[in-house]
Amino acid sequence: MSRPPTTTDSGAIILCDSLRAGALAGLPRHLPVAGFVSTGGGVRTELPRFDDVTAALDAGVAEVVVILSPYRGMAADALLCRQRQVPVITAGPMPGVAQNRKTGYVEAAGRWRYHLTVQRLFQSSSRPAFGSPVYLRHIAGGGRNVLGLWWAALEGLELIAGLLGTPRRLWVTATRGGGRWHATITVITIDEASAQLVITPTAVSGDEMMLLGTGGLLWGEGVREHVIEQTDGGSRLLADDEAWPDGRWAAAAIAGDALALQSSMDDALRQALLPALRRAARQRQPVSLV
Amino acid sequence: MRDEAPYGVLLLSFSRHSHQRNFVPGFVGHADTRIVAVADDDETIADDLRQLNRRHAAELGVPYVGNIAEALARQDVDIVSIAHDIERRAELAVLAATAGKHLWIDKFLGATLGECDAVVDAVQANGIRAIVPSYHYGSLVQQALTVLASGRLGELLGVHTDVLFSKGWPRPTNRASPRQPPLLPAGRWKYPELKRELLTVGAYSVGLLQACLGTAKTVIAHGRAHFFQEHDDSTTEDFATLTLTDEAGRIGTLCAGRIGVATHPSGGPALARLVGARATISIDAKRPAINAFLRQEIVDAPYQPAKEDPMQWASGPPTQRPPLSADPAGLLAALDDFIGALDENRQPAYSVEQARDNMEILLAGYRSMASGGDAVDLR
Repeated sequence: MSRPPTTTDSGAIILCDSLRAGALAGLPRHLPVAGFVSTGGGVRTELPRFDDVTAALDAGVAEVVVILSPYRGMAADALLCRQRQVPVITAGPMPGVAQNRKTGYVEAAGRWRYHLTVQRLFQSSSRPAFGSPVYLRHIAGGGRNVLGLWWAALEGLELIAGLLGTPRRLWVTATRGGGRWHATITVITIDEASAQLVITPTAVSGDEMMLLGTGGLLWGEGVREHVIEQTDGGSRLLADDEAWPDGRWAAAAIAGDALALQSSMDDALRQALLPALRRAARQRQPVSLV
Repeated sequence: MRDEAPYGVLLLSFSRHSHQRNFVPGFVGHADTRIVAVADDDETIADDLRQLNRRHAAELGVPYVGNIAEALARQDVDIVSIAHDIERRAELAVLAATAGKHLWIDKFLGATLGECDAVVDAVQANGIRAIVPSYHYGSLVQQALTVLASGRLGELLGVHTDVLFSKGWPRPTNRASPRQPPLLPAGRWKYPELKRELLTVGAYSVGLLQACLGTAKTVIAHGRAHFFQEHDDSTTEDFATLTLTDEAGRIGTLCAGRIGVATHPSGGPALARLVGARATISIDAKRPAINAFLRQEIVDAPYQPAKEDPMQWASGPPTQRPPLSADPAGLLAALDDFIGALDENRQPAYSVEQARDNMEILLAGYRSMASGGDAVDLR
């Protein structure tokens, strides 16, 4: 359920596409937001809109630019921001660009840590009754384009490593249709637990996560947890913008919180995942990364 | 109801590894079938199965025939319901098909792909009809097919399913010991007190993937003993995952296993997510349901399985959210389709060819598991 947003004269400029749009309503509760730039798809928001990053910078209201979903021109935009001395925080990497070089952007890879379901999974799985982790099924959105797919896969892999341990096998499968991307990441860990990460081409508001342990099942049912509106026209789920971690994460990243900033993954593997997704889709069969 | 006399059904064995007991209500209740006898080969089976077969025959008020060849010669037998141990199923299916009987086969045609092929050949050569009722007619597949037919998904890109049985009483496995990859099947599926769970549970999910996707091309699987000492001791899996791609590059994934009582309100998740270019649709085969939180039943719940059925092959745990459907497994729908196929001289929706391909996917999964997770190409 979204409350009216609060915007400020100066603050963060938020960039995201339609798959991440559900997160926008909750952002002003966590950080000053001065405006929004769409990176793709129709986005409804009450935040002040700018046509592009240049327009937002020209308006003189940007204290920081926060990129919630990736897009093809983000490296150029990050460079522009650097030239204008406006810091850039991204929720994932840029293809082939190590952070702090050239573009000066700061990748804050820990957004997944601010997901309330993830936090509860960590708490519950640490209880003795849970036993040892066996399997994680995670359904996440992100496949509007291959870059979104990549970021979603990276966040999912961070979650898998955090909950299950270090991967010893990692398979990537991907496909595309109707201009959208869909992928699964299959992981076997060194402790013989396994995970199947599913990235859909459509928005997923409230990721579904099912964590099986030797002592039982922990399960966040995602969309089934939402408030339900029933009218003469039918029923509809009202998304809870607090289900999105973006506001808590962005505020923590701006404050320099290590949890928001750190990645637990090897940078070479993170960069290798993007071409692997493309290759898996092209070859129509799984690609092994580890 | 047909004008002709009901089809006579011969029940071939009540092996404790089979679902014959689940088929009986359908055959008894359907207007176009009647059970005419129970049969087994008395000389080759254990005494407890002999007694069990006889007891079921007596309860049904039909004769028990202790020789299968003799039973297949009966003129009043039109359909043979084959639910013997998996290792005998192909031999019996071929015998029954050769005798001109139609086949109702429980889950698996045989223990190996060669045996499955022999059944397919026998069905085709003898011009009889055969159905494998376990996979296609249940709530999960039927709801998925309805979604696919609606066109709401746009282009289908993937199907992802989790089917787990909240059954059995786990005992910690020795996780500190070096753990070998699960044994290849080599034609052996059954152990006295355990089942291979990729085969047993995963076959349902493979049935869903078959219904939605094209021919499987590549398979990756992983499985281990996580819950039961019996599986750990025999280097078999009680839990497994499988990922496949079809010829169009579409993706299917599943997890399957027996995870112990009291881990789910409906006896275990039965979920499917259909991913399309325009929409993602989630299906829970255990819904719609009614929540039943009755204090006394919960605090006094008899979760400990009976000693004679420790893995709960023939029983289930208490549930707090029973599904509303009277036929969630689709056995009655399968019987309707089979009778229709016989009357109209057509194939049922899921026959021996599909069951053979189901086994091929599972066997590829086992090869992948045994290799430590390598991809196995099917075509």
